[in-house]
Amino acid sequence: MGIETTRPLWDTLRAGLIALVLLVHGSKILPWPDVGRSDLAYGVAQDNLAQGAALLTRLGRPTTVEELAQDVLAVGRASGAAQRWLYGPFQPLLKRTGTGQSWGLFAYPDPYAGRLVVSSRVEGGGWEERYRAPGRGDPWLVSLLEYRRIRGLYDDNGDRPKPGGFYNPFCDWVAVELLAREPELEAVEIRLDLVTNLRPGSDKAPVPDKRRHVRTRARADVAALLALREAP
Amino acid sequence: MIRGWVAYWARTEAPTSLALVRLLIGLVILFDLLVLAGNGLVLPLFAPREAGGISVILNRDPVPELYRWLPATAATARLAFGLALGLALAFTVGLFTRLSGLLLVLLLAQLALMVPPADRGVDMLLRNAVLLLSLSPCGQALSLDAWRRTGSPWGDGRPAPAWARSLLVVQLTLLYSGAGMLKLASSWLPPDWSALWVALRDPAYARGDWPWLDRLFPLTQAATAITWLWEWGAPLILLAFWYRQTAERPGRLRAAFNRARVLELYLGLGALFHLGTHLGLNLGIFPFAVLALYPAAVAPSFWERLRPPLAARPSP
Repeated sequence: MGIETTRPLWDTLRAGLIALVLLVHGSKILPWPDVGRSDLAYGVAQDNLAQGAALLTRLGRPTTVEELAQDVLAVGRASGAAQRWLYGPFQPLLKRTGTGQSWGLFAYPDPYAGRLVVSSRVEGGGWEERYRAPGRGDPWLVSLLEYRRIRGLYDDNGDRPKPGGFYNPFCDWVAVELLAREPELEAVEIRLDLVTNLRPGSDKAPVPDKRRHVRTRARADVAALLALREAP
Repeated sequence: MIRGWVAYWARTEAPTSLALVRLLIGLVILFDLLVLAGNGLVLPLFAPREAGGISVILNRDPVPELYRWLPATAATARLAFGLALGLALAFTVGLFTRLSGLLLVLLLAQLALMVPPADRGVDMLLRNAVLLLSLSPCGQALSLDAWRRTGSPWGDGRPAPAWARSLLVVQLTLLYSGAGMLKLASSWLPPDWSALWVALRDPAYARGDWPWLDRLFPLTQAATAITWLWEWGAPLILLAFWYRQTAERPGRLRAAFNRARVLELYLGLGALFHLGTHLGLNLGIFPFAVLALYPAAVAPSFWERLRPPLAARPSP
């Protein structure tokens, strides 16, 4: 490895820019506590709050779950303000290039996960299951629904009291895909059953999957979208 | 110290490792875009709802530039996707590498705005890598640009700025360290250590409903603990990388790190981890996108030794 010495000004400028980039990106991986009220609605968050409150109480500082939640939210607000101040000047560049550092890699594995189930019905018939996560159903539907970008539209909703903003458009789209391919179908049902994974050895009784976030789309409900899909 | 900092980032070396990362990152992006197109998802993911998309893009504030500058139609979505595919191909084969890489990043960032939840962490990682590579001399080897300029796709091996290779290793460290620092949930910590078992039971990610998994719970607990320690140990990559680059300097710790091949051990464990999780979890392109960064940790001299004899450098 050699050392470039012919352009000292450029070398200094580059080293300075790299220091700035390392400062911004390096600090972005810190576990900023970005917590809002909606985050605390998750079952896994409630579990962690309950464990935290119990721990604090054992340590001699009696704390209820609600008190701990208020403290967590206050820290979340302060964290948001600090990040806006720190990253504000760089935000336009980060947004234009879609770059940054935000890595979880299963930071909060969810024991209350969602199981996507898709069923269809012909006129006068009963519901027939077409897809059941993970991996069971019509191969084209499995490939489509388990493609990573599509999974992003529903995989975070299993434990939510209400699904996110993209869930209904996602359900419209799944229905349109099935209804367009199979003209004999009358309706499609999409749901995200709540799965409770009790760890092995738990003394709790197994909890069956619970039907959740059920959306039914009849052909008439999505007629406009179907026409759009079939347009040349 | 400042002089040392400036000198470190001014170092030069053959751009072979950077070129290899460019090739692998480009292949991962190409593969993903082709799978997307094969599933018929160009319009659902990138067109506005009025043109067959899932997302109500035009009600957003602000509307993404793509649909402010061009008509909000299916044709625009197809054009943008086709352009992204073409740029990814050009970047992969190293044709107008800098320009194709920079345009690819800007276009992928635009496409990411159409259905935000469909843009995953790995997409950001890929954009980070392409942006960094576009600013580097990664097109000076293993590329059509090198072929045009030197008469050999391998390039002429002329030393080029090495800073980008170090930054790619920093990126790898930030990825693992950041993920490690966030793992504060009870399932990652003793005595629970159930995180991997829970992940393997998540129907959205699991490759199957495996009833036998419960019998392997202690094994998944051990794997959870190893993963947690391995991610928290990520700064070792930087230290081992630095010790490898400065192997000629004195120091017992440096010598011990190099003798024990800490860098190879850490990355070898990483490769096993990614391939292992790929077998149990449907993580899409994620394991391959991360592994595509690994050649950055390897000195170019290693790849130069693998160069076939017939592809010897052209004489200057």
